[in-house]
Amino acid sequence: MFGWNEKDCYNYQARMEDCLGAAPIAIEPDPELAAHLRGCGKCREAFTAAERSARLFAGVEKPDVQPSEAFVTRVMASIREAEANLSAPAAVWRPLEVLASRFALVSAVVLLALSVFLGEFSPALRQPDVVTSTTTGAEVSSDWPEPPAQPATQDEVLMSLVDVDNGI
Amino acid sequence: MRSVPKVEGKQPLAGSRTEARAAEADYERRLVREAQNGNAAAYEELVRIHQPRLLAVVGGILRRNQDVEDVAQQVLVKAYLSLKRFDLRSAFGTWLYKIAVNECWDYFRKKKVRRMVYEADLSEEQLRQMEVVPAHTGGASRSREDAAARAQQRQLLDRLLDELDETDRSMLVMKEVSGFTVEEISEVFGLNVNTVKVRMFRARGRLVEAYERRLKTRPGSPRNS
Repeated sequence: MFGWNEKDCYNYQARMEDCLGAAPIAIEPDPELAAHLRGCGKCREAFTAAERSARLFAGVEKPDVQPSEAFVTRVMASIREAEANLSAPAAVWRPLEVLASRFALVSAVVLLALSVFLGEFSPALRQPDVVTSTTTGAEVSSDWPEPPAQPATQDEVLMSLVDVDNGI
Repeated sequence: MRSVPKVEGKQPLAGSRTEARAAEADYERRLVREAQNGNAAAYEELVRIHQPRLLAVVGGILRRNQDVEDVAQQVLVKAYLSLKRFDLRSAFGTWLYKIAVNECWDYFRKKKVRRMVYEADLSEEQLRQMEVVPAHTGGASRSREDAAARAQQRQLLDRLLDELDETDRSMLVMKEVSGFTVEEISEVFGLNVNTVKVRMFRARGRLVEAYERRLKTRPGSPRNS
């Protein structure tokens, strides 16, 4: 009704946040904001909510942590310790150790995965299918080459030796 | 760690407020440079300067006294070890508090803790009383009941803050609990001052929405029926 657009409200939100920092919370010092709140119901509602949240925070205890010299001493001691760890000779090899252990782990995982894959899916390692068709002994034996016949005479023996020498 | 004599020139004397601030900033820059060159005493001085606010930031976000010091210590060690990479473009404090906020978030992630507070047993009346605990009444004369009410209020607030995202939560805590200015918060988070104000303002709205939801879902609440 007053023609406030999103950008106006955005800018007023920042100004409302400024008001919440004051104790007590007051918008009077910012007459422009007060006028906006009178006209913009959405912002008025948001400001009321923000006021409530400010009240919630107001009664809260501040963290009870006291600064102390002992704390400073502890910090400096742990810095010395961290530096000593970093400059120790073993520290030079530490990244390599970490790398090696990671590599070993990855290799183990890959090997495991590979062996599972080969075991499950490799066709070479599959059991041959059982022959279900009815085949005669003669048919099966015809698939295999006959063994060479035994030489009967001395000449045949000599001939077979020559064949072997010629690579036949 | 190299043993180097203490930094020359002690804390600057205050003239006008702006001058004093400029002198402090200059003194701090000198300390940082000395520390970057391996002067542990200079870093120790920086720790002393920033200890109260660092503890306030970490304490504001973690709220567990035992862990607060451990996390703050870790922040300071981390900062020391990466001090050489700090280019002095921002104030040392801003850089340090940024590390602190990130460390707190890491702490929550690593421990997978959502702050373990339970206000579920509180009655609606108790919840309502929390809202009317008088503001800015610090002092030694608080009664035990008052302290208990504040502890409960803190628990409720912790729970409500859990419903905000990490950045909004940290911003609100830094402002309302740790006492940071909006300008300081904007530096820590690398955001425009106006953006910080608007984000905080909207986060407050969400906080109250969460509070309202709790009131409505409370057993025995008239609004629940």
